[in-house]
Amino acid sequence: MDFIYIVSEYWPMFLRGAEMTIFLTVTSALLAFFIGAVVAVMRIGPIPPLRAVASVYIEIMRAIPLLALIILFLVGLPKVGVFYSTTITAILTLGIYTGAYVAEALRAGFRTVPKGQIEAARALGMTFGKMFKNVLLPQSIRSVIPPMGNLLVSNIKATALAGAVGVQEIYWVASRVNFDSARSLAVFLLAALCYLAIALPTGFLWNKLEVRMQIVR
Amino acid sequence: MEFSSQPKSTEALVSLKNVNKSFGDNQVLYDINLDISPGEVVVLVGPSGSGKSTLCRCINRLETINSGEVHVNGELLPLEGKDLSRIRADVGMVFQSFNLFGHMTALENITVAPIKVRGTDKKTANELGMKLLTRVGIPEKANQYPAELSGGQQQRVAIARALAMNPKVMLFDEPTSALDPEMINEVLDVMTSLAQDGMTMLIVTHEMGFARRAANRVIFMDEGRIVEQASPAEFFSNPKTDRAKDFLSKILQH
Repeated sequence: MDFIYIVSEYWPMFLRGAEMTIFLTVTSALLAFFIGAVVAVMRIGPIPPLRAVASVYIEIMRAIPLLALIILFLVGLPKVGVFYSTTITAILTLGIYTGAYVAEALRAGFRTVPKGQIEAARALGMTFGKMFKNVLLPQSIRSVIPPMGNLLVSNIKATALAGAVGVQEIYWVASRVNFDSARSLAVFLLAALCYLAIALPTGFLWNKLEVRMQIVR
Repeated sequence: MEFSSQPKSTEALVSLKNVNKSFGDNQVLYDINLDISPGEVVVLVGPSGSGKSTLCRCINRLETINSGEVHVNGELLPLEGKDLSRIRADVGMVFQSFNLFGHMTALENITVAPIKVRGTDKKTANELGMKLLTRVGIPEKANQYPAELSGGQQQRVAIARALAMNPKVMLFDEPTSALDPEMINEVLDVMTSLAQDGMTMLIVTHEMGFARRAANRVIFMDEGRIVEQASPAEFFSNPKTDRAKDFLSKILQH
């Protein structure tokens, strides 16, 4: 059995790959959330130039394939004098890329709050910031949680593209082992199982969070 | 110590000069001139689409205007920013659709702006909130969420919320139009008592009985223009323009 052979022979490599995948996911997701939150606020805020910058950023990020973006950053950043390791560059790219989707998910959440409530807050003399903090944000958080879960799981899978440029995560390990062992089906089956082992519990935990947020008023 | 040569009370609290407003190609306000004196209760009537609500919303710049000037309390309305927020804090507004904050209790709806905008401490704000809820007749609903209240109750909370900022003037944009008939009076009663207490008010409404009872002045608008204004007694018994006559005949025949 190829599969048993691959597992018994290469499991430490896959484990290290999985650790790297988790590391990439967590760091880039945090970065993406931070970027997304800032961009979403810019996008709906009262300052037109910032709104424009946010829109352009979102449109560009959504129009370029992630792999192309990673390679672009990898070869482009050193040209402008920024030298990061491949891993850091991959995290940056993932964060910047997913950040655009986070911004759109947040914006969609903001739109679930009736416009009249925003007008009421402004009519009471709240500045945009106060209105955002006291009226918009608390009411949109709940509706934003499900799409954020989707993005988190997408982000786990997207980290495979970092493997394509040499970051030693699950997909990279699988490619190496495949080269070594020439047992493609077993190797990539194991890689798929590794991703499942990360993504399924994440989705499960996220659903729990969603349920909890629904109980809290 | 110097005395101001112009006592403040004779100045208009709200003043619109040559206000024009369009939505795209569609002009909805033509050359509106309107002064509201302190303590005055002005009721704005007219057919739907005549620009009443838009006029009302221009006063606190929920709608921007294309030309003209809006002064509140002697100050020209600024563009966006902190100054606008400061003026808005002094202008209470009550909406057709109540617009209570869905994640806050009735009491929290009332206290949030005093606390966050005026910097009132929570205890004082809560006392004020309870006083206002008592004033609008529903102190027992303090801890209910908007979804648990009837339309009339929600609108009364919304009035209390606006009053909590101690506004110089109150704008009512069709405050009873979204209410079931049996709830209209509970809201109108609160508004009547406010008028009796000397609150300066601009009210867009279709409630002609209320206009007759509570208004100092009735303004009739049609197709974006102020067509006629008079005391309620004068306006309802002796309208001067054909358009006002036509409007009243349609509204008052039942």
